[in-house]
Amino acid sequence: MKRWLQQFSFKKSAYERPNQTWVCGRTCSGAGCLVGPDAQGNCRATTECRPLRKGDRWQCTRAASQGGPCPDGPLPDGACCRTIPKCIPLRGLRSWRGLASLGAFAVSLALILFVFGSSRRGNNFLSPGGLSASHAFTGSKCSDCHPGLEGPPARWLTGTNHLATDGRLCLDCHNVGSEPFRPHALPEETLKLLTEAVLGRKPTGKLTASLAVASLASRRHDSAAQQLDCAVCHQEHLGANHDLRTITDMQCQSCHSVQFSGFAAGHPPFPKEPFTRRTRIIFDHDSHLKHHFTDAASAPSAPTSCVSCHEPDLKGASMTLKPYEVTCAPCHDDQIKGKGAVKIGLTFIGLPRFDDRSLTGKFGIGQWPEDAEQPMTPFLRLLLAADPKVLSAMGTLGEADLSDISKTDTAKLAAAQTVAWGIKGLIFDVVTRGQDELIERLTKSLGRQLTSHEQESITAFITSDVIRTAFASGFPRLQDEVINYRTKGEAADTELMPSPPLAKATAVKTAPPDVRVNLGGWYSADASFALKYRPRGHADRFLTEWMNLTVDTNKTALPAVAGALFDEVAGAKAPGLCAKCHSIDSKPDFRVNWTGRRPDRMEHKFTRFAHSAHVSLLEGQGCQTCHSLKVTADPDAFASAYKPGQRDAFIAHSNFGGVTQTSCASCHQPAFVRADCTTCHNYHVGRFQSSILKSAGFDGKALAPVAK
Amino acid sequence: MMFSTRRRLGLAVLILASLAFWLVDHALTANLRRPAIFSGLSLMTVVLLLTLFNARKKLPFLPLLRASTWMQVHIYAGIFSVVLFFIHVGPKVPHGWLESTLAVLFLGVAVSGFVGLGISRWVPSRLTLSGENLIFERIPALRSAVSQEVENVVIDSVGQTNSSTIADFYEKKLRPYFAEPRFIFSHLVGYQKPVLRLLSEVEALDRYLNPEEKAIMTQVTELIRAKNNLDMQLAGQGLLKGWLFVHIPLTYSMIVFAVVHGALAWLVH
Repeated sequence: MKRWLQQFSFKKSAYERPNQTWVCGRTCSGAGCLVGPDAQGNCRATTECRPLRKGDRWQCTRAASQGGPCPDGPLPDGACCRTIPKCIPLRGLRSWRGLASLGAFAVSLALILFVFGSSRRGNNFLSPGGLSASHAFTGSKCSDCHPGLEGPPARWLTGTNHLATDGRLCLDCHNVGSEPFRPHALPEETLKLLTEAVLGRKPTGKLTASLAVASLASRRHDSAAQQLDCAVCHQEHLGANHDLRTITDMQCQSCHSVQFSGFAAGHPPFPKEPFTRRTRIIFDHDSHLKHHFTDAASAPSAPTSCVSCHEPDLKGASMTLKPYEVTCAPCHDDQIKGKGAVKIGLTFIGLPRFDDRSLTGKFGIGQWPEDAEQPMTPFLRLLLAADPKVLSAMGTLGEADLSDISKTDTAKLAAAQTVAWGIKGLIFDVVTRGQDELIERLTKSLGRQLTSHEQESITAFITSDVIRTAFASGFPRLQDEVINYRTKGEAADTELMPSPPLAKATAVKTAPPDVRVNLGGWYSADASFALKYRPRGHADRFLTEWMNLTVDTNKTALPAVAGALFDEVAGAKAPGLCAKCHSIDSKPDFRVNWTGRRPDRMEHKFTRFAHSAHVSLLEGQGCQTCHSLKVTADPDAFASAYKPGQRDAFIAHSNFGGVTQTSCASCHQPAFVRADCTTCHNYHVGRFQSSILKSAGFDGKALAPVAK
Repeated sequence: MMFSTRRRLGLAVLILASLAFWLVDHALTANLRRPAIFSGLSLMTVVLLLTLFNARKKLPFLPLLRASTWMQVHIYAGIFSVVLFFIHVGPKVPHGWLESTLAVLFLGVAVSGFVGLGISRWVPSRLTLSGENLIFERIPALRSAVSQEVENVVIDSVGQTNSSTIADFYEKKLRPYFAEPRFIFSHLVGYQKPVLRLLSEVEALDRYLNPEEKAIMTQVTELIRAKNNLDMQLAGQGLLKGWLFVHIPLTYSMIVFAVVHGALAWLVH
């Protein structure tokens, strides 16, 4: 027979109140009282009942559940005879649960308050995670990156500083251009132009559902004007191994007006004419490949493939030109050294012929070589221009023929006399003072201080002996004449000096003067009264430095003279033939391009490509797999970008067509080769040095950025 | 509303809400717009909604829907909060002390909640099958009564049978059993061997008893079974109430940490 333990009749069992905080201490033994403890946990038990008087008798009122009226009944004074012993009330289950909850709350709150009161512990405890390895050294305290989080956390809330990350602090160590918080570090106007350029373009592929959803919250509507803090993309506090540059393609496109699903699905095609700038070295691949390299005379020296002349840079990113000695010298070295050229040397100082019939008497010019017939070279003009009087006189003369000056034109006669004595003074000063005199004069005429390198280069280590030798026979009494002219103002009457007789032919064969300096240097031809310079070959410092100094005439004190000088050294037939291969730009800036394009570590372009990583993948066609030679009907198309006077570097006709996007996408596609945006694209673009160099001062105190 | 319909409706709302929040989070993430602020505020709101269930229980006199409706909302909102938590945290493990502690607390609350849900679905049916359903608060008193009753029966048996066989057996084997709750863990896992072993010992004693003693021993056996049910009820109902000792304190602790985390995130973001 099944036993039923519980009774549910109100007469047989008590009513349970599990919500009460305290329960009778004798409940467990089954003898719990009906009254139970009070709210504070005090036992309220007194007697089992409170007798009721009926007439003259007291009746027991003990509850039925407690056994009903007791057999002894109340005492004569009406008190219950059954006293309940006091118990120690116990907490109910809910009460214990409440205490546990309160305890957990209190412990948590205490821990938080403890942490908030302590600077070091607060920083450690409240940090949302470890810093990346590259920032580990800055992680000593929160305020390193959050200016408002200085001191213990309790102070954060009362401080006035903004608590968020301040991207400006990032710039203490990182340089991303002049507008670091703009998208792509570009000015708003540039961004707007770029946006307008692509607005009409429609993506070729369909957007993925994921991208379509993402585009609902796109930033593109205000992308050009907005400021982006570093922390928008570079998420910190994700542990030492987190790569701060991690970003998804969708995140890249969040600001973009035209979105697409992937490189192989909707990426805009590459431009057909990717080379917007003409090459710095004027090298027509088409004509060389078709004509010169196939020529029987040149063929043995000609390169056999692209890599004969091109090689990857140290990073393997760009292809650069190999040195001149490898690429051009086999065919062009003799040309540059002047072999077979009409004009081998460059006249530095040459004596002009003056009108000796007009320049007499008070317009006398003293002794002057009878056979002097040289033109006034730009070099000579520049040296003379250092003397204001002579400069003024040259201005008066203009382009007048010095050998034929009217006797009645006294102004020109006086000017010609001044120029003549200026030339004699120049020679006298250089002979007596040497290179210092040349440098002083050139410094004045060029209008700026010259560096040691420039001084060495533009004088080509000329000596006073060379100058004395060149002009000694024309001015036997140079010293007396110049001193008298300068100190007493006495201009000796004009006296034409015949050239010394030429040496008689002997058995010893004398080489011509310019041949005697086959390796380059200063020389003068017999009785020519001209001091000449023969370039030593490729990259001659004299020529390159004069071209560098005068390419931008506006930067010189005498633009007209500087311009003439530049034309002299950079002319198509000038010795050295520099301008035959080295293009000269005036746009975007004035420069002579002495080298091919070289990787610029300051330059951060939108797109990057690692040539060396792809070389091993090429088959058959090699470089032409991507860089195909253009077929053009006009054989002079390439040369037209370099025609005389055309100095805009962005007028270009490349020999090569553009790389096609499909050729890249054949490998770069999902599940094959990386095809995310950052594979090929940089975010921070412009010209800047990424890392900022910091150095302690020699006093060991300062540790400040040196350059940004 | 039928239970199955209610469950289907609840699951459908849960899935739709989860999908909607995931999509919003995805859109915000893809656009570098601080999705953690959105998912964090949403999670905080849901957690506060979940705590209202406890408040509702303290206000039974207010006409604020039925407790069972609140329970359903609590269950589905609880599952939704777990979804939001993983959306908020993402596929990474929290790093900092504050956030790691908060994550552990949240997972503790969530796991205890799921365990509690499982207990509330599993234990009652087992208790019903076990025997008489008892009020938890009465179990100690009932155990005391049973213990007293069996002791009376055993003492009486000595006078009735002039034999101490049952009394000796009681003293050796049964007194410890009746003195306190026994085999609680076995009851929790449904392992009945301990009590069956005791009953088999009672059965083994049977061959040494005369008919009068056997009748008394039958009474004792009934009381053993009644005590077994008492222990079973204590274990089961204790479990039904005990998991809240983990769930609710952890919730309070979690709310403290969550408020600090939320305030910092809001101020620093």
